[in-house]
Amino acid sequence: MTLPLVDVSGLEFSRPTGFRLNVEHLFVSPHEVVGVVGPNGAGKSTLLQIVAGIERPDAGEILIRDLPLAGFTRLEIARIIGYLPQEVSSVYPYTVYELVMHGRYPHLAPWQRPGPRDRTAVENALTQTDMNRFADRRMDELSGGEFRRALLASVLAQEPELLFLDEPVSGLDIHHATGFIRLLTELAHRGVGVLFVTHNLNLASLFCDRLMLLSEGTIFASGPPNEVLTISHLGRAYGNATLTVSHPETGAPMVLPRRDQ
Amino acid sequence: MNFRCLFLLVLLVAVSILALFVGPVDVTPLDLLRATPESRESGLAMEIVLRQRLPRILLAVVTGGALAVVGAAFQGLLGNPLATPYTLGLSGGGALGAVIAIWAPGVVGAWGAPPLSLAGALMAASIVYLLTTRQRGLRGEPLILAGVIVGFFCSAMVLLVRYLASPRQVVLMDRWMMGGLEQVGFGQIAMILPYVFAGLTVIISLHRELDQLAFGSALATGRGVNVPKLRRNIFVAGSLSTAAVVSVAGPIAFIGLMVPHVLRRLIGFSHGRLLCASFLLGGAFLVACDAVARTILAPSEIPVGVITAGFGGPFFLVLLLRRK
Repeated sequence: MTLPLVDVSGLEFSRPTGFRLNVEHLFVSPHEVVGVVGPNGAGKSTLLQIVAGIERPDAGEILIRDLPLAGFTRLEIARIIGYLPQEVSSVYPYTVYELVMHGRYPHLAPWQRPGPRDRTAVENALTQTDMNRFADRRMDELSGGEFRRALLASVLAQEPELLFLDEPVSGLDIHHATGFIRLLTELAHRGVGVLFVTHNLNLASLFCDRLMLLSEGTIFASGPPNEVLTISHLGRAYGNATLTVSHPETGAPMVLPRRDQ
Repeated sequence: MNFRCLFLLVLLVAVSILALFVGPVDVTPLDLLRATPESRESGLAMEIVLRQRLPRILLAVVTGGALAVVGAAFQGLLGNPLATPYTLGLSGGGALGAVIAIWAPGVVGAWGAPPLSLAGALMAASIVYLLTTRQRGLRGEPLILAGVIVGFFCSAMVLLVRYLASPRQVVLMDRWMMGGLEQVGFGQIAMILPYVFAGLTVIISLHRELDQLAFGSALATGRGVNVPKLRRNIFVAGSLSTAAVVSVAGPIAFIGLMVPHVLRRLIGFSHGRLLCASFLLGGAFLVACDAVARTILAPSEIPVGVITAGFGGPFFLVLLLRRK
């Protein structure tokens, strides 16, 4: 088995509001797509921020390629981890090319201008996300799905080994959401490790290699989707609101809402 | 440097040279060339151009340029395209210092209003900083709120000082509030230049970080930017530059709002280009406004603040109406 890109153990984090997060173990290996699911307020975004080095945990060990995260500088982390937060927006509508070039920031020394190496990385990122023809468009001229792909391209321009995405498909229609997650699996195919937070249980079930079900600050189920999305686990996380069926193509569990209590 | 920035540089130089020969007294370049030590008349021409107009134009370049750059930087820092160098209460603090200096000339002696105005503006900035930095760093909305509150407080104190002052002093105070470049020699330019130069250098060196911040602190942090440090540096550098130019030229309105906005339409949103172009266009714009202020009602002068705001007011309105 390959060495995990990120390996977290004994993580503890708390906020003054009383919110507590305890994660026994979490890892992401190369070529893997891992989904973090769970009800609102479970701590999914916080977990992602901690493993991305944005928030500091109270206790626990986060290893990036077997080295402690705390030993890396912010810029070093940005060259390994591409982090896309929830609901990114800007009042200044840069062009797509400029936005993607912003992803080269961690690779540029102060005052250094982008060179051929950076332009190649930007063009690769645009190609991978199929955003080439939008390169000269301004961000405010993009649809929701195109804008998400442009943001993903800017994170890919960092040339990360790990992608951490916070609700990357919220607000997208089923076509664009499916296309986006499929794109993540293609990136994983090339060797990137992907960890993303989502409320879309069905897309997560269909495309993820592993799922983690987070509720009230702890992971209480993790593994292949069919072992995680069981009625008893779903009942614990979401109450008595769901039932499951099998996906006709793959047999992956699909979660449906119940009509009656 | 692309050709649009080159064009702006040429524009700045051309406007500045032109402005040397604009004013209530007609001086042509030929008069300067013909000037000889013996001729009293040509000596006067030399005197007007070099001792009066040149320092004014230099100050206009520095002031207009600094206000435009700080405006662009604060708009980036606050994530608000309507922010100005004065949004954070600096002009209020500067005004308070200036009116105190006019009211009680004994306090500062021969130096006049600038040192006290500089101190007032920096004091206002420090209060805003201390009020805001306690709550998770210098974030946009708390900063604006603290700036507006400090600005209001300073305005109230200005009114109090005006109430206590003599009518002659009140006229001087009003004149300061309008903003102007007329009572300036090389000495005052030399006094503010270190602050402005240091401040603008820091701001321009942070242009890529400002681009990152435009997408929010979470994404910027993920890209490797130390966001609290960035905010602090932009705040301090912008406050220093603004306080320095306000102390000498008074609160000249609208350049910090108008110039970056026009330039975003012309050259796009990247702060590298935007900040440099802002300096060039801001400088050229204020030099031109000052030339108009000197001539339109010659031999008397209109305060240059009236001219910039005269352009700026309608522009601001259009900007508000066109913003979706």
